[in-house]
Amino acid sequence: MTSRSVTSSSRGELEITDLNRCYLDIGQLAVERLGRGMAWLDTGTHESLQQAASFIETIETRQGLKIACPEEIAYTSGWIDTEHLIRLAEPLRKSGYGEYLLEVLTQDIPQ
Amino acid sequence: MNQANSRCGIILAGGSGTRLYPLTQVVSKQLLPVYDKPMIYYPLTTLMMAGIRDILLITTPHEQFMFKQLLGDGSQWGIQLHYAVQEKPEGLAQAFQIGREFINGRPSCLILGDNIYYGGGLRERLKQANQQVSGATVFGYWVRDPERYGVVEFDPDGNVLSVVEKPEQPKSNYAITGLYFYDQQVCDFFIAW
Repeated sequence: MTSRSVTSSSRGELEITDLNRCYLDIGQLAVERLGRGMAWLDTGTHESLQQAASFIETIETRQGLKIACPEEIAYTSGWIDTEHLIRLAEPLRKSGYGEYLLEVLTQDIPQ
Repeated sequence: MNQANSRCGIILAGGSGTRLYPLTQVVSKQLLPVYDKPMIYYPLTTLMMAGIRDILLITTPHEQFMFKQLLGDGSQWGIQLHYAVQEKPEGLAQAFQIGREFINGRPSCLILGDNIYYGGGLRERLKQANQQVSGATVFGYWVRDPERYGVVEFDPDGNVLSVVEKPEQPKSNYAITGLYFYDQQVCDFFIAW
């Protein structure tokens, strides 16, 4: 099918870059640019882990909206219903996380 | 959600985490807190926002039980979670060796377990990428230090000229991020295993 395949690199690893090159070779690699308004954070060091946490805290505190809340996303995607979300919220109320899930139900939160 | 052609997701959350020792001597890196949630919530919800509901989570053998305690089978969030282990880290593309049976000829999306995406319009971008039926879709992000990543070179019209892993002389500032959408032929690019 193609001349190129993914085999162990000189550092003994199966490189994702080699896989992307396979697609590039057959003209089927699309690279979409994420612009300046996007955040892509990695958490590979103590500093970048702390920075990521501060970033999340800043936005969540300012807006009162959670980033990366699986319960909210499942609910807004229509994968779980209202009763189910209330059940999930109950044991989480002491941390404020559960309170947030109940706000998702009662407020018109932007997606 | 069991449609044969719908895209499945893979989260790669292995690795020894030695760069974060002693934080990660006992706890998996991808379970560390990022403000108010475990790190794994971020890549998991990125897949969910794309509309992906059948997901394989790859971890180290000794940390798998902690992920299972936290996430279970996913049914509480309307998704299906499956688990596999990476005996030792041998590259990001190893996820497709480990996940081959799970993928079972479907299109797939790999996300790294320590990557965080946030921004306006993200959900729509993810949904669009998920709807792409053929080829691969990856994302380029301008960074100060591209030499740490896979770097993409564009021509003036925005076409991709090259992709190079950790180049000493990067051809651009665009790093390829840790989120990769592939079509159903992805496993065909691996031979001899």
